Amino acid sequence: METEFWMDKSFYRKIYVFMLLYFLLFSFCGKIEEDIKENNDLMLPVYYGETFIDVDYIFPNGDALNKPLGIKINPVTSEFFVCDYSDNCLYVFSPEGEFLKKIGTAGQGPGDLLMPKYLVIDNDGNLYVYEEGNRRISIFSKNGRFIKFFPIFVSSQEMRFSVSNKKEILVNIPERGYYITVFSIEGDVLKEIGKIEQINKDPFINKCLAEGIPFKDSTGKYYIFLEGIFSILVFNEEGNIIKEYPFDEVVGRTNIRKSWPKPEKLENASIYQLNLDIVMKNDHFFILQDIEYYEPIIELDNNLTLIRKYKINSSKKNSDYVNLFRLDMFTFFDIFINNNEIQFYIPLVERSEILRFSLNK
Amino acid sequence: MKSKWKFLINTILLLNIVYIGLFSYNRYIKKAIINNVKKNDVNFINDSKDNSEIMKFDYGDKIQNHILTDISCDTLYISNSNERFKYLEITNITPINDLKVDADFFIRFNVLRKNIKNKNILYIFLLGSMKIDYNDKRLLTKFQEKFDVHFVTVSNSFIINKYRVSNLYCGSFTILLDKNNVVRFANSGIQIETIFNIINNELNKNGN
Repeated sequence: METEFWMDKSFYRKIYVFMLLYFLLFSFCGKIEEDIKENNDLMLPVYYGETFIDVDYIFPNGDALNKPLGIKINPVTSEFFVCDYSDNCLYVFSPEGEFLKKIGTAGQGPGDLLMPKYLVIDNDGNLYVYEEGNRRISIFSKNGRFIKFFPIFVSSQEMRFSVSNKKEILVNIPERGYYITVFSIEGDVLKEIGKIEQINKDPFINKCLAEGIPFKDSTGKYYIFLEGIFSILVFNEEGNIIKEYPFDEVVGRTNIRKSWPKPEKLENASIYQLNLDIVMKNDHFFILQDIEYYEPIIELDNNLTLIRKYKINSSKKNSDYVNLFRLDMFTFFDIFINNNEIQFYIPLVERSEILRFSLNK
Repeated sequence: MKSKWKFLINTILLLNIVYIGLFSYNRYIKKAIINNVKKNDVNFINDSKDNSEIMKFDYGDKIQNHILTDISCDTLYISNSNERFKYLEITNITPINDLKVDADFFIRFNVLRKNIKNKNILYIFLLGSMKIDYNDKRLLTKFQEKFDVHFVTVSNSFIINKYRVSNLYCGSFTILLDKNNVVRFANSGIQIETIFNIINNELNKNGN
């Protein structure tokens, strides 16, 4: 009996090999296109990471970094202040990374700290610490001497605030019905900026959508970077809205979360907040985003035009860090500008380390 | 021969379908999966409650006299006559949770208290809104003897300075009083290690 070709086993083997090749050739098509899109800015200089404060560094007093949520640089003394959430204190370091002193002990009394979560330093070098445990903002002088505290009730897990040049404390408390609440250094409410529109039926969603990071620039304009609806609102000094900028347009990103539902249609479970931290230096905003982007740090001027992107990318030198460096919800960072050279100081909360990213010439 | 062409066309069609499937997976479905994972990550935001209500004690508040009776009928005084630091841990136990003595907690508690130089501290655990059966009572009495602590059962309506035990949202609330019954610490959900750290700091502050 004559056998047909399809009855031959070798024919199926050929088909199998052919299919395998076909798969290998075309299955990554979608991915290749994305890679090309994301690598448009390949020419940007790469910022390399090195350890600034190591997890193994035991300070002379026997302490070590435990859960460093963030770092800030004092513009007056050039000292580095690390906010340690688990050790309930601030650690102070020299620019070379040497331990200098410790500010605060665990407790509730004046000058004590309990779960310090966010730190801001004003132009005169005064320290403003938000304590999650005590729900208050404590103010210290540049030398670490306690000045005063005032209570602040924020239900949000992520509390961000800033201090203007005129020492106004700008806090985002959506429960008050306004985007920005301006406190005096004494803790009195001076004014409230930007009434929150009730977009969604659910008040909880409305509150989450109104959470963000407030700023005031030297021209008197107020900004809030909303993390719930990915947009930036700008207000004039009287509190009237000037413009709303969608975050994706400002940053120039088009291929992320296109299918995001409108805020009116959001359900309780679908709220996603962008993990950001923003530093304002000389009326320029430096935005640190999730590491999933190739250029996690973006510089904007006060008209919210993109100045440049900073690339912290995988190289042999810091590939070890890249997997670990995920922007925690509460992480905050700082930058150091010296003769137009920029350094980024970013904590690795899980590894209890502080990294310094700089151009390695 | 005709069947050969038919077979080839069918194979190419099948491969095309597979190609489209893989392409769309890479392009769209993968992204949707990543987004969904992120959505699930932030569900816990919903659980956060404004527990500002339970912050009824401020640093420096004075607690009025209270007389408590522990589980083996010893009388404990929270008054000026008792010149000791007091560590009060209020645990609200609902009938659903039942009484569960956390062995790990007491081992850590016992290790940490050894580091405190000043031994003159009265440790009181207030167990709120619960009924204790005979076996649990025996167990707690053994714990009292072993760890030198006091368990006091209080009702739903037990009040310290306008603070009602049943108002407790979370598992536990810690109050640290100095020898003059002035509040040195009052907060909820704080780790035992941090609390002992605070006790040490407060003892150092007051030169005790």
